[in-house]
Amino acid sequence: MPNRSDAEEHLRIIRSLMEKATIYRAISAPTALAGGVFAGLGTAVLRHLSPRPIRSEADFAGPFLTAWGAVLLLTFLANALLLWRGSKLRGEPFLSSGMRLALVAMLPGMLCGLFFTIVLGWGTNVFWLPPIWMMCYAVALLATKHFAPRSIMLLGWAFLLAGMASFYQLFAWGFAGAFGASHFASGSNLLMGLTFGLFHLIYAACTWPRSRVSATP
Amino acid sequence: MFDFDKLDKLIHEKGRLGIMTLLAARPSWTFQDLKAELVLSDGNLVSHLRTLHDSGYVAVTKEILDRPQTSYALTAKGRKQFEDYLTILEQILKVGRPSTDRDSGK
Repeated sequence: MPNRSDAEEHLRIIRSLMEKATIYRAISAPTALAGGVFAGLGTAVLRHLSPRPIRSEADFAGPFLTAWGAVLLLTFLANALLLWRGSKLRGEPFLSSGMRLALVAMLPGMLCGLFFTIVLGWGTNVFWLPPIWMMCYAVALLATKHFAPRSIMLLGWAFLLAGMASFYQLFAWGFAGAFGASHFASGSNLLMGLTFGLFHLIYAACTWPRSRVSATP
Repeated sequence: MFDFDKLDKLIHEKGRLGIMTLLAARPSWTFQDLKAELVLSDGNLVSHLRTLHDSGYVAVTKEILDRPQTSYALTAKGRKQFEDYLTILEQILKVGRPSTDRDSGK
């Protein structure tokens, strides 16, 4: 007859395997593709519609926040639509346990991003926002490490390193006073396109075939 | 008093318990993924999977995607047996608790 410690040991094995087996991809390949395309479009539209010449950061703040707010909103809507369609096909609730887990894990990083957007956006210091958004987004992605596939971790690290490098560079250029507001404006826009656009497109290209074969969430 | 003879000996073996747990956590697993997660040899894993399949606990699907792939899933019977097994383990813990307190003089 099995004793109590035997039962405890077996329940411990079950719990640890169950935790390891829970995998949730916080960003699906189609969502990354949509996000990447919207970010690319956002970069192009902002470049086209920005006031010229840009004499100060304040000239650029309005168009910058509007354009990237729209990109975020469109990506969010596309993601919600894809998730809704996927959950309907699988006959699962829209807010699955995996999604809840991912949202809770990502919340602190996302809240930091929102906080900096409000504080820096209010003060029209928007040139600092791209590296800060990158780092906050990276922290949110990396927080899902206990149940995320490796590709999400790589995406998180790519954003973190890019965010830190660009923050450092921005700081160095700002301190040196080497460039004018126009250069910083086009640099910020290009940085957003290269990271939130290109990184997501690369991620979508790398994860698309795998997600179809293994059919894991 | 709980009947401990109801404990499924087939699932109670650690290798098979690992397989049943993973299959209960996700809809299906490939052979390679199970092997990587459980760190079992090919022979061991095949033997355990065959035992579970013969008992009707595990369903096997063979398909050719870009290469041949065998995947495994729990059957309804397997899921029921696994849930019963968990219930019995919990019962053992509940029954074991008072005797532990007595032994420690509480």
